[in-house]
Amino acid sequence: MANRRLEEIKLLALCMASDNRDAFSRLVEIHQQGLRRFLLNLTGGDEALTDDLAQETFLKAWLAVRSFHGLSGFKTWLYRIAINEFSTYRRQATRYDTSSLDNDWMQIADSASETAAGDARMDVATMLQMLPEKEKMVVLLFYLEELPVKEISKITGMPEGTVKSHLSRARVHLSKIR
Amino acid sequence: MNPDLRHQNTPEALFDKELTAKLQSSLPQADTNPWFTRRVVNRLPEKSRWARISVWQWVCYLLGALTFVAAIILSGQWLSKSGMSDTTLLYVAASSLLILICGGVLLTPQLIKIVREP
Repeated sequence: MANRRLEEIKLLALCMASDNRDAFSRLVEIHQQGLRRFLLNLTGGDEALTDDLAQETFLKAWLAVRSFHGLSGFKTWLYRIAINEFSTYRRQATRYDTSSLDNDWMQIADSASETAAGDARMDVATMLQMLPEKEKMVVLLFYLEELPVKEISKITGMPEGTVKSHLSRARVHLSKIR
Repeated sequence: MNPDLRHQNTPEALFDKELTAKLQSSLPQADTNPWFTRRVVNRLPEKSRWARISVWQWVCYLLGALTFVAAIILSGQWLSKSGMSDTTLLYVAASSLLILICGGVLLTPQLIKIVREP
């Protein structure tokens, strides 16, 4: 872990000092799979959109690398850019407001589990997609990426208390998974 | 493992560990894509002119500038001890200054071009 961190610092220094593309491509190789997995689940399995967002994230990171002060880890900073890219995409996409749809899905899920007397089996991915966007984001960062609440708070810009309350609500919904 | 769960054995933490395992095994994973890195690097913009100058070139430019300043100082000291008349010294200083100004006038547009170029 310490070796990886040192390698990352060395690569970042090369990128900042001399726009070293080989060093940046090594950083992309290190982080691309985790980032793409996160975005894949955030976008509900849209592979084309995932790759687009991931590419945009790395491109923005390259352009802004000199403004990275290293106060948080590079991964935290990268995921923050990714979430901003995803939010920008959502704002620009011409789709109807799904917030009410999210609530409808939750009611359907709740009633299904009540009426089926505990026998309802909710697919993990389906249940995740039913969560409201912010809860889904926090769940993916906490359980899939195994990041602590403090880092999730830095990535999402939400206070730690808000992150914890999203996690508490998500636990209630995800406890229906069998 | 999530640092927040590492040393906890509360029912909530145990549920979280179970949920972590379940989500990590059930959720879709991104396939390793060997072309992804290449596509990202191909999209990176061209290096700025300053970035194309290597560290060693910067060191050479700096040493050159320091040498130039040292040469002016040493020349001045030598001239002042050379026993030349004040008039001669004045002519030497004026002509040197004129050469520097002419050189500056010719070089300044090039320097401005370098500074402004992204």
